[in-house]
Amino acid sequence: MTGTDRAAAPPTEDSAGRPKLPTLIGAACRSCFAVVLAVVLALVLIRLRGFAPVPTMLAGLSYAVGDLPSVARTLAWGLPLLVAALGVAQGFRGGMFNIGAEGQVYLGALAAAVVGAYVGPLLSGLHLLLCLAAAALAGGAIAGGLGWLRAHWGVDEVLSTLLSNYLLILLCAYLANGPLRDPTRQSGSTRTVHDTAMFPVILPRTELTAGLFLVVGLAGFAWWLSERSVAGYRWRMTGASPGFAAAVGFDVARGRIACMAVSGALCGLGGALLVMTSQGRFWTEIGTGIGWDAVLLALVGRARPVGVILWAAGYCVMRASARGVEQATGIPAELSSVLIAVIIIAAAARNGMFALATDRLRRWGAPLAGSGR
Amino acid sequence: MTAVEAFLASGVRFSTPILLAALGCLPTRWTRDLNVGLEGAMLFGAFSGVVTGYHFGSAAAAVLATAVIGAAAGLGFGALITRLRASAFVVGTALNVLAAGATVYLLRSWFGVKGAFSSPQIPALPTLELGFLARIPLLGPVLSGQTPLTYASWLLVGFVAWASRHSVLVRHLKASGEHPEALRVAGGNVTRARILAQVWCFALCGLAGVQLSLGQLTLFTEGMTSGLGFVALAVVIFCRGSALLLTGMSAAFGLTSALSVRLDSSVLPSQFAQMLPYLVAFVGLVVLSRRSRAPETRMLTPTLED
Amino acid sequence: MSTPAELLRLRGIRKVFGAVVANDSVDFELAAGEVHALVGENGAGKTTLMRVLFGLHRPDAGQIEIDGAPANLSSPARAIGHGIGMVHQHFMLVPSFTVAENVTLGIEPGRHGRYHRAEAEQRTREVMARLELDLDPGAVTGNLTVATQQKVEILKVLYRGARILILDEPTAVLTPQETRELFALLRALAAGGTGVVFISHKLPEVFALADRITVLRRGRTVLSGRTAELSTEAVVTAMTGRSDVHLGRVVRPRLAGPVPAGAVPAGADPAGAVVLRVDRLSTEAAGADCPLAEVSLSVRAGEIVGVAGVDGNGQTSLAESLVGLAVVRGGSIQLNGAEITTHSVRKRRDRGLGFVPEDRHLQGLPLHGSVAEGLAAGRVRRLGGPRSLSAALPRALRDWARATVRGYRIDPPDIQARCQALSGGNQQKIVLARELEDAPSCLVLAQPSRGVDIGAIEYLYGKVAEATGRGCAVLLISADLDEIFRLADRVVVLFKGRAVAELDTATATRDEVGGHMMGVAA
Repeated sequence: MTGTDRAAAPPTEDSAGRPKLPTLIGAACRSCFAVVLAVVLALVLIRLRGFAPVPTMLAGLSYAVGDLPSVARTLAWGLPLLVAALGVAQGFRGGMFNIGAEGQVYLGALAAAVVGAYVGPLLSGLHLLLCLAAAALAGGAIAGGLGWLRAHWGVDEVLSTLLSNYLLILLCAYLANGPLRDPTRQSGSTRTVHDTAMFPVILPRTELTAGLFLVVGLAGFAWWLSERSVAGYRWRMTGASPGFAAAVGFDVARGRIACMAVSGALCGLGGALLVMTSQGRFWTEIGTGIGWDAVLLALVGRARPVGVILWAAGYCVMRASARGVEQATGIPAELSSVLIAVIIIAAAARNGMFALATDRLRRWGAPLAGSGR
Repeated sequence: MTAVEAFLASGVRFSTPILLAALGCLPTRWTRDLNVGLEGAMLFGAFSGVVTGYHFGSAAAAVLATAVIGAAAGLGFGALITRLRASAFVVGTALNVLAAGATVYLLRSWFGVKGAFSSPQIPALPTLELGFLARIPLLGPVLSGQTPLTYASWLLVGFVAWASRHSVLVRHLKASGEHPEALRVAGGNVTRARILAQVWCFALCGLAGVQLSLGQLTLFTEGMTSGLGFVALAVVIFCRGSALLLTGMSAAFGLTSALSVRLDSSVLPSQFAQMLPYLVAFVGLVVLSRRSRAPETRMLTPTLED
Repeated sequence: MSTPAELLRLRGIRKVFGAVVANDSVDFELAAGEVHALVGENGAGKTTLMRVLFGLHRPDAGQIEIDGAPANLSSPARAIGHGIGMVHQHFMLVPSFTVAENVTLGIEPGRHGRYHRAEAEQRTREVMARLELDLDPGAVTGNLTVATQQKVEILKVLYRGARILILDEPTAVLTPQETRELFALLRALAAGGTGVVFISHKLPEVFALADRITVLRRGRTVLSGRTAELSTEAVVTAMTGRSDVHLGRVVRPRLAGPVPAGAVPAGADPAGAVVLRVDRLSTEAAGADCPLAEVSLSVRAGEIVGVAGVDGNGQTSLAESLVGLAVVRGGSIQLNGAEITTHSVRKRRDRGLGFVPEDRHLQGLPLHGSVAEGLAAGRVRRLGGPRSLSAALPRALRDWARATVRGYRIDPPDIQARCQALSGGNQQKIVLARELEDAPSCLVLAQPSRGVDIGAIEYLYGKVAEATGRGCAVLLISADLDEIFRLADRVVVLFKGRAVAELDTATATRDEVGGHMMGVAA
């Protein structure tokens, strides 16, 4: 089809490489469609339970972002998720589908908790750094190893990372219930970390910690890495056009491994943040599925850091709202999982839907427009 | 029944959902729309089995209703990936999350319970004592006394193996995956073939779920599929299209799962025992990739570009 | 003598894809027993027109009449029902199916959904007998040679009783001898009353085979008439819209400037410095292509050496082992005197090796990436290691990309356009621009004019000629003998992975080279 496609497609990006406004608006519109669909579905589900839809949703929203403490709480909750989602997106951008985010988050959390509890207490900044480094190393090593298996032995990383989730989560559960167990607690949990390993709270009486600054920095770094840097260029080419990358002399194997390692490191850091900004220890239910959420967010954000950040923000608000709705009406908070899944599916189908719609419109419009030339 | 026989019998029971799901997924491998949402489909099937069984009071009705619901879901999924050109990988992954969330949501909304739902009103799948099977030496007690779904799965293996060689439909399924243009210009219907594969897959995954929830203990637990869908996916990828290999692998995983449940925690900590099926799958994956040079191992490649 | 019955008439066909008008008010007629050639550059609308005829596209306007009666060809099944059969340029054969399975796909013999293997093979044999072909119906299609696969395509069409046969660029993958066989087959079919539509851009063949010629340019009919009444120049002018297209040997400037460092001098003549020396190169079998067996050749500075051969006889293996993408089992490759046999792709490129791959979609360009990304690869490659976190496409590079796009007259001149959206010719210009920017001392070109229209081909040949003037040694690997005879000084012929002949293009004939390509000693 490329040979016959002679028309000049209108430029989609300006000279600085930024997407032009019409394209951005078009993309936003098509994404909005999915969100609108989800909102409608939410209203219907709430109504089915016998509650007034709009006031309920507003109550939920006010729980999420109604006042400063709420915003701080929602934000604090979303920090680990965002980092993990950026990690998965890094991998996707390089063509490496790291579906093992959940396991890497768990491992990173465990590593940070162990270093935080058994090492020190040290100077606060140093201790934080050590914990973060341990988590990044743990996650990066696992993902990098799986990337090595893909690069050199052709082991499909989708299946290997999928399976690694269960292996890692069970391993962490064993360690938390066994050798690393805190005997003063009932369930499987490690010792509480020293205070020097926890991020200080920056907004009093909320959960928002200095981890926010770290996350902002990581987000900027992730964006620069995948969209602008030389390494990101190599990974993008390796991911989208591996034949091209190999033919122009990029080391495809090394790129794949490096990309996976960075992806895993970021996921590990997400896990570390779980421990160091709120929980203070590792326990077997710490993850609560943020790894799977991260994969979904990376998919719907199409692996672009900016898109992922926007979707993550929206998702956090949605999750928090769902909790608010549960508090007010008793409707289960799993509503948000249902909604995000519906959004993903609608978003995946959006291009096809629009193509179908425009095609039908054109067919109806054609006889009206006249067939004379 | 001796301990070994009990172990083998439970191994057979464990392998049925894997076998059913894998048989369901196989045609989607042929049409190159590999369904990664097996986990979600099975979970929905398990839930549907419990709910319809509770409502109708009969296991047969539960099986039938779940099969029909599964087929309808497959139709919807098929329409999504063909007419609306959605990525099968993305929708399948979303399906897994949807199932996890929706089943919990409905469990709490409809029954007001958390964690698990059980009731004496839920009918269990009957176990069939088949005389002619029971008389087989050694394996007799293991093969007899299984649920109808287990026997159905064995029959399906034979059917799928026969159809792979001798049916026109399978030819079209394979063509629509390998070279859809060729099928199109030959006058075949690629869209119909792809949708049919998904209908089959979802219906069988639904039945796999019913086997899980009504097969022995009649209850639904949140997340009760616990990765079996992914194990079935691994089986489909490993089996290289051979129905016989698919059966053997499903049996192997079933036995491993049965083993992991029975191992005493003094022999092996329970978490390591639970790891066994996944470990086996992982090692198998690595060994298989090492031995084959064909790039067809890259079956699951999703695309993020439009 | 009565006028032959009119089989087919297309009137005023219009087909639009989005903003692109692929066919604009096109007329086309075909009589029984006639061979009618449809000619035009890539993108002129020939394939689109035939896909409309075959029911793959619905025309936005226009009428189709078959045997004088209007026909509604809304699907391939309908078209087949009217007796239309199409042999596509890219075969519509499922590689893992047997010949019989492919021939009977869609109309499998057997009842109640059963596939009757024996009956399918029997019926396939019957059709083969009609064409005097001898193939094993149980052979797996993917293992057959390209020419044989094409015969299976024709079998498929005739099995359904086609009276109108459309062939889309059939000779692109054939040797001269195989082309002659195909033409004999087509003539036999035409003599039996079948109407043949023959799409091609290779004029010598068109003039040899066709009774009538219709030329399309930019979706419109610009010329139509009996072959005997038309001249090659008139047709070329109609195809390109220019009257100054030169189809003969490409003129090359004299070798000027210094000889590349390290090139092995031969005697006192600087033009004789050997840049690329391949010595008894053997490779592993990889993919569908034949492995190389002790191939030796050398290319001097400023020289163009052509490597002729039918697809599957080692051309791809040669290209990939030279670039570093294939494993070498024995022998050596030297570039400017340095041994590069075990070097990575990156090292070879850093040493001055350029590569224009035969599959530009897979290896030449990032399809989903931008033009800037496609052009920048060479410069980015040199920024390794510690500079990995610096900007990949800084302003300086973007300015250079814009200047290059303007200089090469790439359309559209937008460096952020997706490579996918460009035509074949423009895509190839990007590939060549990137490779030449590195000022390589040796350039390996693999099938450079595939899918590229005549105007762009002219331009690319000009650029290659310029490069040879600067001392670049060019290895031209091509299945197109015309291309080799236009560009190359010498030609090496590959057959089953061996270099079976080395000839001077000034003195050799096409038949001689073609014979070596088939493994027949001249």
